[in-house]
Amino acid sequence: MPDARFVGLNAFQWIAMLAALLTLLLLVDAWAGHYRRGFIHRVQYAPFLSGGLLAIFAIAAVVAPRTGWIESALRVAGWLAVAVGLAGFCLHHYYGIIRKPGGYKLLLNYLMYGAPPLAPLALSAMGVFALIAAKGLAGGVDIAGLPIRTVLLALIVVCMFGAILQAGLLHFRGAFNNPLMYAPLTTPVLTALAGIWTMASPCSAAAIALCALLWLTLLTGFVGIGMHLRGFDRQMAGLYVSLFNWLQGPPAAAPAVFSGLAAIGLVTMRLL
Amino acid sequence: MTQGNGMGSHTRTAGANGERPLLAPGIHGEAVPMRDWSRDEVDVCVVGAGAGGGVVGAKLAEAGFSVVILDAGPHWDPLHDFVSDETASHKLFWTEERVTGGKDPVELGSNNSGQGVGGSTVHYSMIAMRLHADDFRRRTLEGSIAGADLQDWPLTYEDLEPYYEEVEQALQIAGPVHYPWQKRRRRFPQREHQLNASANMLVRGCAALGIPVAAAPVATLSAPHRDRPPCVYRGFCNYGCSTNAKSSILVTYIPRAIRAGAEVRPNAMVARIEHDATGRATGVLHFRTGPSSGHNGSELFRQRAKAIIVAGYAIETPRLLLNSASPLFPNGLANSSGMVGRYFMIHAGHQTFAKFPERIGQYKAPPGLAITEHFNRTMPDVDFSCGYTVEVVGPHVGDFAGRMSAARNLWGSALRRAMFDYNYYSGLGIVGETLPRLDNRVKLHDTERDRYGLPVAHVLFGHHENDQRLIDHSIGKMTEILRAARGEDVWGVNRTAHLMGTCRMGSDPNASVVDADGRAHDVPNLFICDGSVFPTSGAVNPSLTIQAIAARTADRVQAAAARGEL
Ligand SMILES: Cc1cc2nc3c(=O)[nH]c(=O)nc-3n(C[C@H](O)[C@H](O)[C@H](O)COP(=O)(O)OP(=O)(O)OC[C@H]3O[C@@H](n4cnc5c(N)ncnc54)[C@H](O)[C@@H]3O)c2cc1C
Ligand code: SF4
Repeated sequence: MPDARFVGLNAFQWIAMLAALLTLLLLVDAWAGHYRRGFIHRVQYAPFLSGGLLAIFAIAAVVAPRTGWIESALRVAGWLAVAVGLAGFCLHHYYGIIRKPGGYKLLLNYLMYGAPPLAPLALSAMGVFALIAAKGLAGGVDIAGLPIRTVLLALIVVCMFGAILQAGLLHFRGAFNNPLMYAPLTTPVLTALAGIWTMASPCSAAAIALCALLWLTLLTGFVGIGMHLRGFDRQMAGLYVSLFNWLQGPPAAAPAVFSGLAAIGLVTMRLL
Repeated sequence: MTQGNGMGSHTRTAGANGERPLLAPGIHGEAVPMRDWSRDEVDVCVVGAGAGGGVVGAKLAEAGFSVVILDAGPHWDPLHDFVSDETASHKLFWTEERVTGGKDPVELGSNNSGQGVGGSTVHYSMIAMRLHADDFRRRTLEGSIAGADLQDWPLTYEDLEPYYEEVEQALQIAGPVHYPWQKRRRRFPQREHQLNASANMLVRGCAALGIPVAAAPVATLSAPHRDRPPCVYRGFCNYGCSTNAKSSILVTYIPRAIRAGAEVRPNAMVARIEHDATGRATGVLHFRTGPSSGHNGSELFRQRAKAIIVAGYAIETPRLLLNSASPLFPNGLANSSGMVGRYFMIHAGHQTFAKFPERIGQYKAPPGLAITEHFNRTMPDVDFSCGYTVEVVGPHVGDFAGRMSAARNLWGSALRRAMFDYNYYSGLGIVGETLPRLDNRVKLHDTERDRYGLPVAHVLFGHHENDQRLIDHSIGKMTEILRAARGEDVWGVNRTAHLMGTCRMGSDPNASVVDADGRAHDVPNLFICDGSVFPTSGAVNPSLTIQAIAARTADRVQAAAARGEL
């Protein structure tokens, strides 16, 4: 168990807590998307079940670390989230593209407007973060022979690129109508590159650059939430028809993914 | 000196509001201050505030010209005037009396043209397409066809391409990243829209038959743009769009024109264009009505101008020129060739419907969200020249009942029962090229007069046999597509769409009315830029081309002014 603490919590408690928070935010957007389609398939409830369990046990692990059954439950919830996310990815692909009229012939339209292709993988990623937290809380120091710190950095880089792809696609759909919509293609990209640099040559310059960029990405996410709320208000009648515009407009919580990933990155860099 | 036919005897300058500043409706319900040019001789007077007039007027105002844009209809306030009601929206259409005739009389009224600031773009379906390079060279490509008079345009696609780009940008057209039938083109400013159930049906049918298909380029926002929200897919586009998502001229170019100092004068019906002894236009005489003007249409007002641009669409433009006959121009203004009113064209607009096992809700979202231009070419294995585009259509319940009743001879309770399945129907329509014929024309009616006492338009139309073969072919193809999309119970209804020709452009003053710049051969300071200048119809919806021509005309007017010709 690492000794370094921040506000009384160690790195893995922080990671478990951030994974729980991010999962809950993801579920908000997933609910909007699935509700919009009227939950036409029962399986559309799966992420709420699995994500809910993940959030509950991750928070339990923060509150009561080193409790055997909670750690086991968190591991089970983590694997379940990984599986549900992967299944969701396949189902989004199947129902969102293959089953649509014309299928791949209208790929871009379906990628932009169909079920968000990469979104379920975010749940898988949260599952992996929870599994790493469980391992760390149980005293583990490496995963498959690699130091946990390196594994975490690698996972953050991969997730960052996934989030950049998904945001880039949706901002492209919005024709980058506000210049700030290029933001996810700037700081997070640099952050991911700095992450790779840190893993490849762990020097202090790389670490300083990565930390600075992680802070910037954290900020970018918050600015993004503000801008999405503004985007929400730029829809017809804005907040006055809030449910409709929430379902149609920019996903309010989505930019938090960048902040969440950046926060996990900062925890990794500072406390591990 | 001003010549006239006596109408000017009770004229006065147009100022109706004394010294009060003018206010125009803004697009968010606010009142916008506007210049009053009624007492001055302006640089440019534009007749018609629609697709052509709005663009040319705004561009010239922004270039520093003093501009008045007159329109026969009201200045709409989108939030208050547009209602989600088919019948109540009839006020948007040009429903003044017109007489129709010929071998295949064209149905006039709501299906043809609009009245009011924004013109027909207030209620159009927003499909925003470019002509293809070949469309400008029909005569060269098809040769001479007996009974028709195909002509090459005096413009090329390359001449218009920068203007297509300019208006696509201004209207923020939402279209596909890869448009299959125009590969080398700049990307549309906004991304294509999500497809509604009707568009999905066309995609499914085409995909099953191996026919290329794409999301249609449309003039409604898929993302917010400045102070306008994106489309909410409720589908009242043909009845005015109260959200302002639709890029009609009313919410795009007209605010620009007013900001740049133009006056947009609504309820101003232009009765004739005046000219001096040398044949140069000097201004227009118009009637004013409506509560804001304080007039009842019994008096004529004069608006003086150094140049006149007519953009009243393909029936009202020739009517105005013919009504402007004078001793110097006894056959009508700019009509020494006798071509004013000639070569009136429509698009073949046959529609085919089918019933589907699943609920479609064809009225939801903009009506034409998917398209195939696969048949928009002269095909090698068919018995007709030119081609057609297939588009999704989405008539609302009242319109659909009319079509069903006409096509299937249903009435009363039988129609009512059939209409229970309205939401399970979906349909396709064509935009089919028709050939220009000398005898298809707009002339002045011998006896009928409108409420101002002006002779009304008499529209004569008959299809060339090529048109009929094209329509028959399209019915076969639409039926195949609908069946391949799992549609049953297929039926069709004959319709026409869009108005073109009647003041065709060309380089020969004996065979055309205006030149490539839209400038009348006979009157050097008279321009026309609307649907009437098309020498051939093409097989795509015309408004983007009208707007591109108008944007180009604005540049040509500026160039002429710079040369001191106006
Ligand atoms: C139902 C419907 C759907 C359509 N859908 C599409 C589509 O999807 N895509 C497309 O490209 N096209 C579409 N069109 C056609 C398109 O709207 C017209 O081709 C285009 O608007 C014509 O432009 P214009 O400038 O020639 O005339 P308009 O836009 O009709 O403008 C003419 C204006 O001039 C005014 N006017 C006329 N005479 C006078 C006078 N004497 N004095 C003062 N004012 C006068 C009229 O009031 C009118 O406002 C549609 C048309 C209809 C009717
Ligand atoms: S569907 Fe879109 S364009 Fe049509 S009326 Fe509604 S908001 Fe306007």
